[in-house]
Amino acid sequence: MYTDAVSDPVDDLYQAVHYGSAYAMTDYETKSQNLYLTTSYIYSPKLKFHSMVGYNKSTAAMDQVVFPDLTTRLYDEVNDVTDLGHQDFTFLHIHDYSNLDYELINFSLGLEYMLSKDVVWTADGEYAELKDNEGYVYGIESGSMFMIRSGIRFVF
Amino acid sequence: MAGLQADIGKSRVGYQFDYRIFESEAPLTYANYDEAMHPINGSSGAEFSSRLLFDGVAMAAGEYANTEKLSHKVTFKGNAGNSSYGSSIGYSKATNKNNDLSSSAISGSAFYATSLAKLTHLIAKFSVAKLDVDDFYVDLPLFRDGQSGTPQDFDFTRYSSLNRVDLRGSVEIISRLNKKLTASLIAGLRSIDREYYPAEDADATTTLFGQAKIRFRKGLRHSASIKYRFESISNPFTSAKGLFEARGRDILNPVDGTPNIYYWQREAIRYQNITTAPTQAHILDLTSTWRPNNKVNLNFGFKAKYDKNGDLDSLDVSHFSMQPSLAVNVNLDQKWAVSLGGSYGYNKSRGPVAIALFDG
Repeated sequence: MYTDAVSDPVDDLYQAVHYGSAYAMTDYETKSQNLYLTTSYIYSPKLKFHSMVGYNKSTAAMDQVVFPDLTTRLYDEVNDVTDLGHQDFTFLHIHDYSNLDYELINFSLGLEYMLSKDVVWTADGEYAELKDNEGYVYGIESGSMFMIRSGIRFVF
Repeated sequence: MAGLQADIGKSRVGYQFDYRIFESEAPLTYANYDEAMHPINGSSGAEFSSRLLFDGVAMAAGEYANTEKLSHKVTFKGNAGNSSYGSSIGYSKATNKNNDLSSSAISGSAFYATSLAKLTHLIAKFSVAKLDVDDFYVDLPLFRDGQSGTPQDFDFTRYSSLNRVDLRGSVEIISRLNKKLTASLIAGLRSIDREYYPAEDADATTTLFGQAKIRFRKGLRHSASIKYRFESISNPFTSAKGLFEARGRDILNPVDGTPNIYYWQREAIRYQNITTAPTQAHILDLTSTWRPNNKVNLNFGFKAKYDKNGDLDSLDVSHFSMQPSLAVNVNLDQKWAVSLGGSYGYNKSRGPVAIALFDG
């Protein structure tokens, strides 16, 4: 596993040439919109209902990475060698790897029933659906979730 | 968790003890490491294997820490005339029982509040914490053991950046200007002196901050606030390794009889501090609530932050974020209540994307 150092072909002795690093300042933006609607209804002093609808849309994107001219990096004017003119350092798509674009919508419905002054029984159901419009490392990951849960809450 | 509390004259003394354990029986996650070989012709297995920690084996890649935590805390509060004061001393220790590594913290805090005038108050706060995390020795196989040249020993001691003394202090003055307006000013500092990072003798990260806030209240119908905070940070936490590699001829050469130049040698030619932590930050926070009647209230909020680092040579690292939000809460009657709201979040980060250049 060699480094990027190479031999200079015009020198009899082994001469390592190291091209070092290059960088470009790049912007990365994320945007997120959230909307929600919740309702609650008191049916009786012992029984309450609640519901929720939520929507989220999020995107993320990086600007294209544009490097400065690297073709003459370590150019040897005497021997006219070891420039990087034969290399292509334009990266047209790596910024796309960071793109995110997904929508999440979820619904929930639940109730609370007061069994006694100090004990409340709860039951909830929730459905969520994620729509992935862009994909990431593992591809499109759209999916949905349905959950029902119940519990006892002690008030003290 | 258990505690005791007692009132002694005008003072209150308390003690709290907390103990918790976490154990997991979740199955381990394993990662398969391919057998080392040349990627094209499949040869040189011994050579490539001698450069790797694992090959041709499945290794546990993730394991929950089985932890034990305990803490003690003693608190004290008192009053004297128009002033109140208090302090606390705490000790906590957490141990990963899988490997017997522990972290511990000794902390202390104090506050003092007093009236400077009829409608003006002063609050001073101070805290200090010392965190110690066990270091451990990482014993690695020799690099290229059994191959030509001298094998390299990369064993090292792993120190934690959490080893630190964390010091905080602030003074706040709150004054009620009139029936509608209340103003507050805060000045303070935070110093984090890490024992090992990014270097053993590195200066402490010191944050000086100032904050101004004005609150407006008109009866129960309208309330609003505006807050601005400025932070100036010296020596923000940086990566212990440089972002870039130097370039040139003969800056890397084979060593100790090895036939080639290897990746590990590039560590020696890295330079340029890099961090996402800022040296300056501006933070704005607006809130407003309007209650047109007893059934409806309307809430508006806006937060924004801009920070940048001016200590990174030509690198222009900065961040900007903002989040407006709006919510309406309606009590339709004694049984029905409805809330409707939304928010928008925007974040923009500017930083370097760096690549190592290869000819081939």
